[in-house]
Amino acid sequence: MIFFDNASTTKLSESAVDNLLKFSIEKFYNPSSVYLAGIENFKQIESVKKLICEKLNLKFDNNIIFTGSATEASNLAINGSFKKSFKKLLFSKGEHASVYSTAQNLQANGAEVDFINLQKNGEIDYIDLEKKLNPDVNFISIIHISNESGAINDLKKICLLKEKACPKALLHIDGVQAFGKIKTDFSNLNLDFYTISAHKIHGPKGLGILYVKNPDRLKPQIFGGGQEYSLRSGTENIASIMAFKTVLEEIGNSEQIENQFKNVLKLKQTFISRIKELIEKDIPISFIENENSSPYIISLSIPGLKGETLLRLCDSKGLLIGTGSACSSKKSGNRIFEAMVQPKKIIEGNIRISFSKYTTYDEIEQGSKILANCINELYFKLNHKNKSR
Amino acid sequence: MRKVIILRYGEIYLKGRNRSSFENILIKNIKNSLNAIECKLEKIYGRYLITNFKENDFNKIIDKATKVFGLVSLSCATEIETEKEKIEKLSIEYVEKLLKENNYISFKVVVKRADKTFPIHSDKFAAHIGEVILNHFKNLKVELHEPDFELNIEMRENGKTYIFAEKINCCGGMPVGSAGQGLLLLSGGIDSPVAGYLMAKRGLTINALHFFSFPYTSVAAKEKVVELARKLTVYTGNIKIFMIPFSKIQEQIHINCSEHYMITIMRRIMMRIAEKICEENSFKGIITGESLGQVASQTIESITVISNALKIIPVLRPVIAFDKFEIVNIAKEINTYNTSILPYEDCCTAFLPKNPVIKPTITEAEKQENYLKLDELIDEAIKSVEVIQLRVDENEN
Repeated sequence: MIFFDNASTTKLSESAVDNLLKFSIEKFYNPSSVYLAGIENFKQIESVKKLICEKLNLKFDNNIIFTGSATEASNLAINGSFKKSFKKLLFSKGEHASVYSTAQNLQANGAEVDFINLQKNGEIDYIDLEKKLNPDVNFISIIHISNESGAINDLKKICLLKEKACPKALLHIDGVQAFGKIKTDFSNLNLDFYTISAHKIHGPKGLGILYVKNPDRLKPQIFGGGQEYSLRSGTENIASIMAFKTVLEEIGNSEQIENQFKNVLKLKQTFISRIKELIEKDIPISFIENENSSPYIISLSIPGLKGETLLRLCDSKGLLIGTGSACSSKKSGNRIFEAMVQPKKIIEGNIRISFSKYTTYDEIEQGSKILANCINELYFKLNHKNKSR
Repeated sequence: MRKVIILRYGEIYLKGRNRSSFENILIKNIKNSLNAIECKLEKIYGRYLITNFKENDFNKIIDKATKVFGLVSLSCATEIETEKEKIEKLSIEYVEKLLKENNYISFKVVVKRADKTFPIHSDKFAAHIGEVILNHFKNLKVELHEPDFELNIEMRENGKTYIFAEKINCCGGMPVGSAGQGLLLLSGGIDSPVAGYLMAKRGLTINALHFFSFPYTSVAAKEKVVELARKLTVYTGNIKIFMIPFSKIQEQIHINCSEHYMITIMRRIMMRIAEKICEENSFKGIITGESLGQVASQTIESITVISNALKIIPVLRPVIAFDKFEIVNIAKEINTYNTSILPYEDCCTAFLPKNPVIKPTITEAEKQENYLKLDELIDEAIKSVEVIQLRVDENEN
């Protein structure tokens, strides 16, 4: 089985299993306990938080909050910041559902919410952003790398525009598809929030992380025993946090991340050229990308095929891929591709192939063959017509 | 004295010499539906009794028994010896209990004397018991037309008397299996489970046939059909599902035939496959959820052309004259609606043409079919059948 759906989740790093077990069975103590074993675990958690800050090139100052998921982390950033006095909140149209639905919920409850358009390649439309930014804007949320198209948004540009128009506005970046995969040096960027997910980079499921610049200004959404600076109560998930520590250590420094970025980019390029070679000449294929998209995600469409059908056929041949667009008979289309003003056939025929740092050239070779065969087979069946009749 | 549940049957009462064979089927079905519950089924003249059950299982028994086709009503009753004094005493106790739980003011006594050895005539005895009750409960009054409750006293041929206040309606109809076996084309939509339910009500044993189109439709769509059939088993008893892979046939129609005739040809082939399965399994009819004019393939012209593909086996269309909302109402009643509306594609939507022909002709359909290797395709599909057997007791939570 070849797994090319790493944007949805990844396999746990094998070396992380040790800590997962150790802190479940041996050092299972509640980090909030007063005895030494508990205090020791609390210190361990702090060390992981420091490590996360290192990766972001930010100073640790009680500003990392562990949550039960990245969805929860983004919800905390948005709902925990929201005040009735907010005049306007801005979200990109390319946000993941965890942010987009939260925005819609605020809107439904009477908040003034506006959405930033996307370009055809999936990046946000910076001109539209500039137009919509003004001193009335209190909160902005933009995804770092699109989980659907792989487009990388230019955080530097976004911060500059923001500082110019509304320096006091809070800026949340959803970094779920970016952290650990591209350089995240935020020392010169004035970010207020950054959301991270452990299981998208070979960490355990059930662990989200929120970086918060000013924890004092955040309102908790979950109340209880006062863990995580009283911003997210609930016993700390020590085993998962410690498993994630191993993952963080494996990610290495920014140079290593950059090397890996280049390696995966080569994998991506190989995959794309293999697909182009292997599919029949008359089959139209369109890749949604530019030089600025994530090497970890390929978004492609075969107009005239349905992504879901192709996905199922690949599944039966041992290749697991993703489709963002749920084209069931009742619910057709895809919010994000529609925002990218892509034609209906491109949206319906879209599939997502996503790699991980563990993807091998052998898998690229086998996976591209399976995919190309499936495309050829389906396209022939659906588009061939005996014309004499 | 003991608690019993009286089961009454309807139409089969009218059957002449065949009655016992109908009854045997009904008894088998009742036992089958109560399979998982500890209880006994006894037969008295013209009635059945459920006895020896645990108080806790009472609601479960009622729920299951009301869904057995062939039964018209049931009552929870107390059984005693047919003796005047005992009946008087129990009547008072029974009313006392009823008054504790309800604010009843008026009542009526109904006596049925099937046991003619009991010396007092029904009307007279009803008046007598009424008097006994009035004497005991000063606040009650007799009301013959719209009483708050009816006290029923039935003296049966077995020397026992049954006292009860309430009659609960059952589904009616004929015992499943008394009319032979049918094959239901089960698509996954709202209409076909309702059609299956209605034909089971007229005594057909239901088998189901589903066409799936991997990879055009998902495994979830197939599972949905199994779930629908499972929900039907509550009424129909065990169901055998025949799963036929249909994508190759659809692809061949798509490649070789006119797009407008896609659905007509598809339906005709489905009918041929259904008929073959019927022949091989001695099923006597094909059941569909077609409703006249609902979609292009359900116009009178389409129905004509589609039926024309069959040789002998009849197509039963119990919802042909029903409006959608009427079908939906039944689907909700039999608990299939929520499953039917789950948004998975069925095999028809995968190759949906833009303009399906509304008034097809047999000549054109036959001409289009000449472009296909029909027999080969049909045989291959039937050879790849997957059979799933669903049993009633699998429904237990």
